[in-house]
Amino acid sequence: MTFGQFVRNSVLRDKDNYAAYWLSSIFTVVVFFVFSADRHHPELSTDLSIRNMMSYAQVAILIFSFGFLTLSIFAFIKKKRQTYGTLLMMGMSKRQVRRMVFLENMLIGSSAVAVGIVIGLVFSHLTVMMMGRFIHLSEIRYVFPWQTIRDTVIGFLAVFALVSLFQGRRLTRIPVRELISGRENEGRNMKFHPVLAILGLASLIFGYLLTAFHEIPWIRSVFERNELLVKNVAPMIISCVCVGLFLVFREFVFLFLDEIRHRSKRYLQEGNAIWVSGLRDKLKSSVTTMFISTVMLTMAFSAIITCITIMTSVRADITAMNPAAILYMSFDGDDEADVNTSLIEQALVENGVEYQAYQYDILEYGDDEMHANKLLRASDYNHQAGTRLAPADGQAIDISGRNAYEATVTVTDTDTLEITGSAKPWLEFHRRNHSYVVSDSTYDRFLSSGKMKIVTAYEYQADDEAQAEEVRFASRVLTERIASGYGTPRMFLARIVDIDLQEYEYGLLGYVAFLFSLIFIVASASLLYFRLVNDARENLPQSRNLYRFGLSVPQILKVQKRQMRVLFLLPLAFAVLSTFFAMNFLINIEAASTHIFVRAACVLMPLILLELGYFALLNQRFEAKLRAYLAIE
Amino acid sequence: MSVLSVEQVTKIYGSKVKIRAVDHLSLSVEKGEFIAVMGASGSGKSTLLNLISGILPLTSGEIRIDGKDISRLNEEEAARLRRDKLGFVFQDYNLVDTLTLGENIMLPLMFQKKDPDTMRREAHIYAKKLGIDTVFGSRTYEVSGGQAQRAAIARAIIHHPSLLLADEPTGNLDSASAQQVMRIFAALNTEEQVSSLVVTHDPRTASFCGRVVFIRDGKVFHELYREDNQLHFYDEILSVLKFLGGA
Repeated sequence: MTFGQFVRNSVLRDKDNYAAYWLSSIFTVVVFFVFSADRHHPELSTDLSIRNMMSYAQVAILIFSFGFLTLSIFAFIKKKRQTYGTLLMMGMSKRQVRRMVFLENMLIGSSAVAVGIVIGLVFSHLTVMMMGRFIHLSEIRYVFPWQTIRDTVIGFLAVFALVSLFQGRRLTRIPVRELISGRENEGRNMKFHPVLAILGLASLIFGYLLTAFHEIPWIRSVFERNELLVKNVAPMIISCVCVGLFLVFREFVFLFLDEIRHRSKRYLQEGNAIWVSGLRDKLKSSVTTMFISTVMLTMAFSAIITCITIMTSVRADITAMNPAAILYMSFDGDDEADVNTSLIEQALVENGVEYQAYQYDILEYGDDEMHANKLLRASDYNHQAGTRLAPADGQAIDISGRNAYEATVTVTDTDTLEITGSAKPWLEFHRRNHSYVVSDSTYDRFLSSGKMKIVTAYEYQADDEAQAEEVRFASRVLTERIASGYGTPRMFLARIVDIDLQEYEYGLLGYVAFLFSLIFIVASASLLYFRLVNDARENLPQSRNLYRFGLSVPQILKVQKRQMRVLFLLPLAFAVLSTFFAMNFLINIEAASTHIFVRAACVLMPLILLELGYFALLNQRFEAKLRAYLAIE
Repeated sequence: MSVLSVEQVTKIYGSKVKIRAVDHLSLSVEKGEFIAVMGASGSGKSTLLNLISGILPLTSGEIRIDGKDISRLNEEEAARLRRDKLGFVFQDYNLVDTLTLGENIMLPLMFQKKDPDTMRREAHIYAKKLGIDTVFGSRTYEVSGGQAQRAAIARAIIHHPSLLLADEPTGNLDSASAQQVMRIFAALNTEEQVSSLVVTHDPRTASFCGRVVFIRDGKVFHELYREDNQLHFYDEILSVLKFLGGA
């Protein structure tokens, strides 16, 4: 047996331990490869957003990988510390041990990179084509991703090498006698502090409550007095929940288990003492893993749900901001209104767009369009919005979209109207502030007073979802031909351009976030897997003792499975709970509607089922192993 | 020349609160000697073993193995000394669980960069000698504790070390397996002149040795030499332990 064979055997014959880590590494390599392929593709890379976004994503993956590998390799080394200690005791030099750690990890790393690249080659062109469609490229050619392969190999091998070297050096700094003593006593000797335990739970609950700060009177009253708190509510929530979660795992669960131990009569019944006390030990050595897994799962769940919610609501949100498919607004001094509106109609007709045109005036008072008071004739509003508003003379209905409105509005310096209610906004988003619907007669009175400017709006209603291509083409032509915006007396808006832009930006972000979330989920599952497999292995002698005491195999399995269930499901449960509150926060800051919960459930259910299936598989493997082990007895 | 010579060795732990684990202890092991070191928990026997194996630095004194002062060796030289001159047997076997029993036995030869054929041949010889040739290709979790410990002994002697150090080698075994393992130690000692130092708290295990050194408070408290049959020696060991409060 040569040194190389020894290293190879120590990896290949420990597949159980390395499997999840290896698969997780492969998955990370594949995602990196896909991003890199998008970035380096000659046609896609002309799009600056894609190039930048993919570059950032690649760097982020490498940073994440560095952390993930550090954590994983540290865990492997910790588990094998007695072996390394024995080898050192038997005369292996520290350099050889460092070489062994390095080679073991490079073997795993290089095989993960190789397999990742092969899978990446299969999938990357699909994602390149998807991205091409996404930015409306009519054709995209296949280019063999040499640069991507180079980046992936260099990037990942460098990360694997760095982490292995660092961890090998760290290992050989530990005295041999400590290594040889085997298992660290961290799990057994760690004590909890009741004050920290209660503080942890309080911090977690407070963090969750902050997500609904609008709805809880005592929090709202504190926040209303301090604007700084409102601005920093998100970092406050994240800090409270992170600190809370860590202390709950590190302190509170032990306080809870000790309370059960001392107070519950059931503790000494039906073998509860065995599984609860065993669980306590396992939890102690799994604090970091459980905390990191919970945080990663929460981030992944929240990111996926948020992205899907935003992506699916882009059209609705923009339609709410701009009710017309095409809007032309003509201000004072616009001599080309007739020409331009003819152009619009001509373009729509030529592209086969079915549309309905409507023209109306808006009265404005004030120079700044954001703060100017705007009046809309009730008949125009009703025609467009399909309502039957009938404000009396001297009254106005607020259509700014605000939740609260004043009792009166001073339209001009001398004219005041009574505000009697509110209705859904109609004007384009930027012109929506201080906009009101008034009766036709009130409108005419203001018009004849000559105090207000007249803005003419030409709205073209069309189904830009069903006739997306037609409207898109017409809009592109018109955007090129109509000079509008700053410095001109007109404004031209094509809703589909906004939708395309936002769908593109959020789509790109969502694509990256989705793949990142999957990496987080897989990595978290890998960390938990290693912990559980390791625990299960360490438990075998204890199971043998229980067997000798007279417990049957099903009874032993019951004890072990209960512990595994808690260890695996606790992070998942906290992740789901934290995600729920994260969604609640998004609703409270009006970044999402209550529909997000339905969407969250739709997204979370398959992910949770996937995790549960994975857990069932682990359980099954563990059961087979335990039965085989006890069969030797 | 003694295989092992421990001269006035002291080991103090801690900087603020000082604990004298080994206190001016002297001991020597001659070629072919089979010694047991006994003592109550905390008496310093494991510290002594760690000092001899060079994984714990001395506070004062001198330890020589085959005439070489181990406190003067640098890291690389100390590793080489452990690799070539010492063999170790641990209480919980410390076999590498990703290797087969046979591969575990070959490990010291791998460190010495012997060719694979020699390794395999030698490993088979020792496996047969220790009665584990039938499980040569088995993994560590597939064999009994006695078989695992025999593999650990084979691993400890395959490279013909000057001194075999064993830390509670029977601690994890049932009495039948423990007897079997100690018989192997005794046979190796008589047949191959393997010098051995066994740290144990078990008088039955110690009774297989030719000499028992009792340690109390880090000092040699008493020594017993086996002169006649094992049973009588066992009684003698027991009586010293009763006095020490360790039996």
